Amino acid sequence: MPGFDFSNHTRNAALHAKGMPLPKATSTGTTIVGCIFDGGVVIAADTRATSGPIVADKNCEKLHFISPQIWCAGAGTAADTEFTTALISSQLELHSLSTGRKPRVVTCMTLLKQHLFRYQGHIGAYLVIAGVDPTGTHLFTVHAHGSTDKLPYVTMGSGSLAAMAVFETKWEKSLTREEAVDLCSEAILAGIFNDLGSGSNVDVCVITSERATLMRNHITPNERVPKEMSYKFARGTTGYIKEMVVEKKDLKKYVTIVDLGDAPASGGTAGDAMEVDA
Amino acid sequence: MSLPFMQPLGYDQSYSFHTPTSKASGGYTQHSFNPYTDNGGTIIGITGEDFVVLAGDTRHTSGYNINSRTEKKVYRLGEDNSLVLATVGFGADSKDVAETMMRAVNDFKFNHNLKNMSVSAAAQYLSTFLYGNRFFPKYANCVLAGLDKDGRARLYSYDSVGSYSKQGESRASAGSASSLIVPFLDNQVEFKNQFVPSSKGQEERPVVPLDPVTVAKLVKDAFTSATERHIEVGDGLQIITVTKDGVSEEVVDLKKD
Repeated sequence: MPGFDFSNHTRNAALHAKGMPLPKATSTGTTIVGCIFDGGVVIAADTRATSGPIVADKNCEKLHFISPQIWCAGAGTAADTEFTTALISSQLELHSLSTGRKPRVVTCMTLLKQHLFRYQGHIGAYLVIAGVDPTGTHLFTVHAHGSTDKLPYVTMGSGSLAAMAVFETKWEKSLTREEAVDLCSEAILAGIFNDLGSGSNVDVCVITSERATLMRNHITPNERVPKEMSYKFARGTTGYIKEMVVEKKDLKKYVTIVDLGDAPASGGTAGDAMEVDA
Repeated sequence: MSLPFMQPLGYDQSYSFHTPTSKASGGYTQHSFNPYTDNGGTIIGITGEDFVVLAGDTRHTSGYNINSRTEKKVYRLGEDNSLVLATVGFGADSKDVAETMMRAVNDFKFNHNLKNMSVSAAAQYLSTFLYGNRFFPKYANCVLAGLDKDGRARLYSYDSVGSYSKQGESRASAGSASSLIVPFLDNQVEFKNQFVPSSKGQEERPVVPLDPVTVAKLVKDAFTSATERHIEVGDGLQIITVTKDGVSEEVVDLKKD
């Protein structure tokens, strides 16, 4: 069955009425911005994800791929921005395949607003959509309730006021690519340092008629200072009641081992390194 | 475009992260005045044998905003004694508690032939003062420290209505990131969950008083780590060290994001 599963609704409503709190979703407190320049558009985001006052992820990605030349910055409920952009990305690709044309930014924006309006704001996605298509360069914002804006420079999220303050003092009608990247970065930095919901690094994506360039961690102004002390414990500090040493040659007694030789697993490369929080 | 529900994220009426938003369920709206605000921040205290360190970050917040990056939370209760008090919670109440204590310590001196108030007396006075406000509490969590008449370090921590332990403690933490710091201090100061390596988990690692250098490092690591994971902690770190030779203050930078 497509769409959301509501089968727990009645149970959860009863539980909630008896005083059980709702589960807490990870929100991307967030500063996201976008700005049009001569020949393209830039979007940028900070990289902090929060759960209440706790930093859930210090270096998350808020710039989402929609199509090769349409990218989206997301604020609000982390899962909603992630899934909504992925869903519309998929629909847009199918639409592009069936029409035989490149996807347009207005199409993407319309699909998003209709999807979000249908859910009356319950899908907490606040988005900045930017891209270049055969009709030109475009920059939109979409709110969770479905309203949209089309502007030359935009900000969203809890750091939107700090970021907009930068745009309102420094934005000019005609900008070069470098000026637009710097302006967006500075707007994000204003959010990072003045809004507690935003923090860590600056991610930037530049889209022109030729290509989109994602600059992950374009600025990293918040590196952790090294710790004063090492907190390595002496072996045996944690008590244990049994010790068993298994030699490598005896491993087969405990687990199934398949020798893969030198061939890469499942035809791909050796496999990506697991992403570990810094 | 400025319908009320379109306000940016994090910008709502409640200033505190810990204030539950209550909505009456009978179809009516209940109005109330809440005189308290949580201004965030964290304090810690660690004792050695003959010295004690109190520290606190210097960020003062309201919701997602930073009011100040340089607001200190640790106070000396006089210039010729070893008493120091750190307070955290509601900024206005915290300062009021600190100023009340300064005045009390000063008054004591002039009422007792220029004799300084002892730490234990200051500790009991603070408790009495806080409990005096039992039904309109000072929203301040306090950690009080000093040296006793034998030159030994004393450290007391309080809840907002004056509960404290007369024996004192070896380490204390209060404020928004205390839940992150307390387990760290338990492990590194009291050596909790650590066993003597050769004892196969039968013998707990004996607790020994820490030296000043180690304590200074623990304090800095506790705060740089809390800054990483708690949005209300950062900007600056004020460290006050009390030894028999006097009281010294140091302020170091913390991350500002």
